[in-house]
Amino acid sequence: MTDPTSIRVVIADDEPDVRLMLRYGLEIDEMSVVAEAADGAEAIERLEETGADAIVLDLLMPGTNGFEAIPEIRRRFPLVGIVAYSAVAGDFVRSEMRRMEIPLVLKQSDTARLADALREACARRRALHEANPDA
Amino acid sequence: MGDPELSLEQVDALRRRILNVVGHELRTPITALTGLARRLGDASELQIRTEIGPALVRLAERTEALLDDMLIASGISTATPPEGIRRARVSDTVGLAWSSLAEQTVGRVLRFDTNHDEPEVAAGDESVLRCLTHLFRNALAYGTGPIEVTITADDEVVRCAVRNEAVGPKPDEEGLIFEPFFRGEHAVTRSPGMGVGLTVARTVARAVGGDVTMRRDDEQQVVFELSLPRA
Repeated sequence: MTDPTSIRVVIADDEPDVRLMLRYGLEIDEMSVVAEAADGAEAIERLEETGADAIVLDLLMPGTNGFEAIPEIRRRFPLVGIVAYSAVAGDFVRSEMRRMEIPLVLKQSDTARLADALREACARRRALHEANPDA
Repeated sequence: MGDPELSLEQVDALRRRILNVVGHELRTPITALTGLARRLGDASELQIRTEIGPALVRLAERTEALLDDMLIASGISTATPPEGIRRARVSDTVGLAWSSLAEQTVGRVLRFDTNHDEPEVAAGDESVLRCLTHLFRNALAYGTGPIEVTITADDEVVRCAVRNEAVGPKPDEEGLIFEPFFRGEHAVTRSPGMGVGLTVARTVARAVGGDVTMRRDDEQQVVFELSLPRA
């Protein structure tokens, strides 16, 4: 049975097998995967439907990619913790994530680091909101 | 690539770009494969049978195909399917190539008249399948709308034209699209890929005396054509 206090996560990645791997891995790391999405637009819909606490967001996706989804997610769901999850961590990706203040986790088989990043991202969003509730 | 006057710096930059692309493409399936393998100890028999097991097979096959593609695109001829004396009918392979792309074909339409009786080609099923799979993957990734396949033949050659609505390469990119590890500007931020699909299709086709070429039709839509010698 899912722990009601566990972080509720949306997984957004265009690769079904990556989503499968993340679902298994994050649930072992005591997270609750509440929805999946194959692109950025779908991810925003799933956040709307589920009221999730956090999102794992692949950057390179067809349709609306992760870079494009981030500002919309920030605007509509300011409390949602976003973690960028990518197989690419070149200079452009790193600088963009720094500029957007989004933690970046490189795709790897062990999801513990991703889970830690999600917890930290959620905590930061809550702290920011408490400090500036009208922002 | 192939420019004899590349400086050492340019060669090094090219090497880094290729390794970056290849590394990126291999990382995704290998990460998922390893991550799922880690779960085997905790998973139920049902989970293994219905989800994890099939995913592991898909990912392993995908990694194997990526490796073959990389070697073929790099000109390593040992990775090109051996042919011997083999014959295939292109129309028999169209459906197989389309269905092999599974998730990518969801919501997409293939228009192909299955009542074909064109002559056999002097190539095996594996080569024809590999060429068609890459042409379809390319059409799916970079175009919209239905993908139209037309097969024609003359006394010497069987031609399979793959057409779909696509932005297509920019004029200054057209000469590069068959270069290994090249991806057009439109492609880079939208979709994954090593940029070797068209290279592989052409390399495999040429290995059996055929070719893959690109042209634009009367409506300026992109058409890729696989031509293979008749058996």
